Amino acid sequence: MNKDAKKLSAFIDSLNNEKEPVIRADSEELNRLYAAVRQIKSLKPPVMPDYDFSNKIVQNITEKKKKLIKNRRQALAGGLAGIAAILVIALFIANMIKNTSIVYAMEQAYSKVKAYHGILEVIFNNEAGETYTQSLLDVWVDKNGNYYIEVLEGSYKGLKTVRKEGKVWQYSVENSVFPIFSETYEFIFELGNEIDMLKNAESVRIIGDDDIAGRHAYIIEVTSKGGLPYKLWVDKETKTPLKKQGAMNKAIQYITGYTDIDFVDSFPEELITIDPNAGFKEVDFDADKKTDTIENDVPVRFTPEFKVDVDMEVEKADQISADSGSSPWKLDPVYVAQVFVSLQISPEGIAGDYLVNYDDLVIAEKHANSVKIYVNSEKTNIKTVYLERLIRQDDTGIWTVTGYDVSG
Amino acid sequence: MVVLINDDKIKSIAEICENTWEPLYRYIYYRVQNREEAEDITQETYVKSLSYPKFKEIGRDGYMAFFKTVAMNIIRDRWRKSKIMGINTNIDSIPEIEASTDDIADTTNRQLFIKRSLSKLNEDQRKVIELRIINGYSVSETARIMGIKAGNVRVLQYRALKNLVVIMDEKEKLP
Repeated sequence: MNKDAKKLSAFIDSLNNEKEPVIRADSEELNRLYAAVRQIKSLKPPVMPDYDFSNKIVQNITEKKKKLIKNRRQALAGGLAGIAAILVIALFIANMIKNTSIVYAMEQAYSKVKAYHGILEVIFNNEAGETYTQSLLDVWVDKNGNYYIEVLEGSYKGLKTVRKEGKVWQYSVENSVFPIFSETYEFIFELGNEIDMLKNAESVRIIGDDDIAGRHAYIIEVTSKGGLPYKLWVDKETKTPLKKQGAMNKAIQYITGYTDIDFVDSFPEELITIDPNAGFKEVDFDADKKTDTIENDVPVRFTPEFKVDVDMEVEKADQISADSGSSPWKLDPVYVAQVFVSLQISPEGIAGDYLVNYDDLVIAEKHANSVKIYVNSEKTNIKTVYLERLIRQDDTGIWTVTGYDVSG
Repeated sequence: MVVLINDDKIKSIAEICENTWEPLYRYIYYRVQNREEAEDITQETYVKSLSYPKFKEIGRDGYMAFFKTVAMNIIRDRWRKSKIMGINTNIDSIPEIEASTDDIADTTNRQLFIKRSLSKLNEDQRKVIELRIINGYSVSETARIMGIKAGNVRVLQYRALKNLVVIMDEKEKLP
């Protein structure tokens, strides 16, 4: 057989095995055949590197920089200051890439998770340095948006909250329902939400290492847009967030963390089997219930008939409060509109029930950072309310009323 | 001289690296067609680019084009060295950077050209290329599928590629 035919076959085998070919082409003709093989292979999509490839890039940059600096030190004995500066810059750059790489690695790791089960502890510190356990929760979550939370210890001990197929149900031992946002609907340490917050954060910085619940972890400092910095402990092996420590706000600092966590394929069906006869009641604080509306990611700015003056300092403070678990209703545009319209009817304040019902407000359009809400109530001449996310443009950003229409 | 880079600049560089590695890798892979070499060249591209003293003077919109230029230079250097070592590679077959700015259109046209050229081969030649190169089967697997001997697979693919090169050269000469 022709030697070139064998060489060509070996060349094809190298590429098929995703290896760099080292087969000699000692003729122009064979060289042209090699090029043709590469061209044909381009019909296939590329084979991508492992998920931690970006980490490898970082390591490589760091090592190369160190070597470069070492060589320069030998060659330029007098240039120590410059070399030190280069080292600092290289490490800075490498660290910054490493910081964004950790988010990517977490995202990749979480994409493989189907469901998880953990024991979540919520504690808080006061300014005097005293620590209190607020609650201990048994948490089951899957990637379809379903979850089961049972309060094992705390004020609402025995309270069970189940989200199934977009509806939220609660059961309490006293047979009365406590629709507490911060402990149930917006339960505060959902892994997917935490990773989304990192992706949208203004800055993410690895600031150290720690051992937590027998696991080696990175400590990451995260600053969300318009928010106070908080710390996140991330398992080095599984790239999973384990613990979160919020900033001290209004003399309170919340710390939430999984004392135990397992990744599972699904969670027991009996946990999310709802039996209304057993005391489960559907609760009405699911902000997603009105999302059967137009929604897309294109930023849209409405032009209302009347603009509402906004005090950005107040909004910034509200955002920080919402970040720490206070005023979670500011994350629900319908609720914010309900409060706004009620206060327009009764500027002196609201005593008792709101003057317009939550169900009187309907989302007409919902975009990435703006919402248009129709008001169907004879108690007000306001027909449409416009809201925007002014501080932070993601799911953790609060909504602010920026205008309204009175003509229908 | 002490060079200072403020936090915003560093953050900007990190963000660009994070956002560009995937399209850059694809750009390189398209040319080398193996993961090992594509990974090496991608890494080397970042090392060289970030060491470039005037890197920070490149505008945000220019980073990707700069990375591609650096990557292309690395590919050329590596293949030139290979030629010295006796591993010839047709460097001229690599599209010029300037011609590759519109990657999607360029790639699509190139793929269409290859598919049309392949369609001019006879059935056995087309099949051996499809099995060996596109589907990545080994010689023995291809032999089993086609019901021929392994030696015949090598000869058949060799002839198929020689014909294909003639067809491609003729097509490229057409106005």
